[in-house]
Amino acid sequence: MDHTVGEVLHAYIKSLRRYAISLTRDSNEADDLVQECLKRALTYIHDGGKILNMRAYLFTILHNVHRDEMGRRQRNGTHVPIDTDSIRLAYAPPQDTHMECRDLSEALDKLPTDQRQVVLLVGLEGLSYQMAAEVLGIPIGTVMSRLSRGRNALRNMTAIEVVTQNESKKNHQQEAEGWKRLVKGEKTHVG
Amino acid sequence: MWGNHYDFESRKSGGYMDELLHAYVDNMLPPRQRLEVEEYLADHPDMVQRVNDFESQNRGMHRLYDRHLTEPLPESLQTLEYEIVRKLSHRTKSRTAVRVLASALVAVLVAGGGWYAFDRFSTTGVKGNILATFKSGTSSPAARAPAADTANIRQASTTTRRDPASASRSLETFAPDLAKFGLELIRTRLVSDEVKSKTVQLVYESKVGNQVQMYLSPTREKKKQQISLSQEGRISALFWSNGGHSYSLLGEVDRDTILAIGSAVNEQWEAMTGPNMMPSSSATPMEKHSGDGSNINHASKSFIQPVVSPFDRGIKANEQ
Repeated sequence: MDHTVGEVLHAYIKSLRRYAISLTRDSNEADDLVQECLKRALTYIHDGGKILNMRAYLFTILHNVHRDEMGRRQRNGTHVPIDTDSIRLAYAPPQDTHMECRDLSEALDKLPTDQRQVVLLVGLEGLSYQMAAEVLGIPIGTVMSRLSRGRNALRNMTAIEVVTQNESKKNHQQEAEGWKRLVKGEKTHVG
Repeated sequence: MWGNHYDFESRKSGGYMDELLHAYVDNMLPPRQRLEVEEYLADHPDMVQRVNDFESQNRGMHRLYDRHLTEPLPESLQTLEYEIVRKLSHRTKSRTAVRVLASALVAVLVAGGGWYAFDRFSTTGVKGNILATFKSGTSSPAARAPAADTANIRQASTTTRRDPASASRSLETFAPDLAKFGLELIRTRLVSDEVKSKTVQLVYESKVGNQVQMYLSPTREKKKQQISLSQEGRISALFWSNGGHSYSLLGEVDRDTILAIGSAVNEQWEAMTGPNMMPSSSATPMEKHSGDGSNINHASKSFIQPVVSPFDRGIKANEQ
C-alpha cells in the first residue's frame, strides 16, 4: 500500500467524518453518509474517473448525498431516531468547557442549514472560501454572505445565552441572599 | 479572491469590511492586508470584540468536534478506505512505470532512431517466439507457434520502399481505434519537430485507468522488419518495424493483450496506407495505390512486390 496516498486519504476521511457529525449531529447518520460517499468515490475511481482534489471531491459528494437524504426525508416525513445515544455522543463536549460548548452547539443547531454548512466548512474544516464555494456549488460571494450571516447569528445567540446565564446567576444569588436574610429574620422580598 | 490586492481604504465600510474581518479570522489574507486590518482594529475596539468572538466560535467548534478525529473509523469505512487506497496506489504505480519507460523510450527514439530502441529494449531470445503469436489480431495461446527466423523476414522484404512524404503524413494522422480492447485515445503528441526524428505519441487509457502508450517513428533502416517483446515488471513493451516505420507499445497489460493490440495496430495501419504493397521507384503516379490497393493498375503489377507484415510473416514461418 502506498503510505502517502493512504495517510492523506485517512486524514481526509477523518475530517469528512468530523464534518458529517457536526452537520447531522448524529454519529450513526454521519457514518452512513461517509460510507455512501466513499462507495461513490470508489465506483468513480473504478470506472476510470480522475479526481484532481480528493478532499474537495469527498466533501462535494458528501453534500450531494446529504442533500438527497434531506430531500427524501422532507418527502417522507421527518425521521426521529429511537436511540438518542448517538446524538449525545456526537457533541458531548469536555466538562471544563461544557457550558460554552453547549451554547455554541445549540446555537449551531438553530442556524439555517445553508449557513451552518458554510460556518462549519470554513471555521471547523478550514476550507478556503473558493473550495467551500466549489463543494457547495455556489458563488464565492454567496459563501461570504452566508458565513457573515451565520457567524453574526451565532454571536448574537451565544451573547444572549451569556446574558441570560448571567441574569440567571444574578437572580440565584439575589434569591440566596434573600433567603439568608429571611432566615436571620430580616424583612426582604424573595423572588 | 483573498489573494488579490485591492484598495483597502475605499472598502473599509459596509460589506467589504465585514468580509475582510472574516478573512482575517480565517487567516486568508496576504501579510500586507493582514497588517492593514490589524491597524484598522487598533482604532476600532468594537471590531476587536467582534473578531475575538468569531475566533472564539472557531475554537469552540474544534473543542466540540475534534475528538472525533482521534476515534477509530468504523469497520465499514476502513474497508472502503482500504479499497480506495488500493485502487489509487495501483493506478499511480502503473502510470509511473509506464511514464518512466515511455520517457526512456522517447529519448532513445529521438536520439537514435527506431531500431536502436528495438535493440535497447528487446529481450534476447524473445523475438522469434513473439512472431509466432501474431495471427490477424488473435493472440490466444492456441495461435502461438515455435520461433520464427527473423533473418528470413528481413530477406523477404528487401525490395520495396514507401513514399517518405506520404508515409510521414500518414504517421501524423494515424490513430488506431483500440476500443475493442477497452482503450480510448486520450492524448496525442508530436515529440520532435524534426522530420528525421519525428515521433508521434498516442496515449490510450482504459476505464480503470490503465494506460497504453504507442510511439510511431520513421526508421533509418527502411528495409528491416522485426518484432520484439520485453517485460519490465507488470509493464509489457512491444516493438516492431514495418515499411520504414517503427512502432512501440507500452502498457500495463499482459503479454497476450499487448500482442493483440500490436496486431490490431498493424492491421489498421495497413488498411490506411495499403497492405504493404508499394509501387517501385519506376511506377507512375497513376499506378500508385490508394487505400487497400484494389485500384492498382494491372499494367503496373509487375513493378509491385507484396511486403508481408512481420505479424503475418511470423505465422507463415510457423506454417512451413
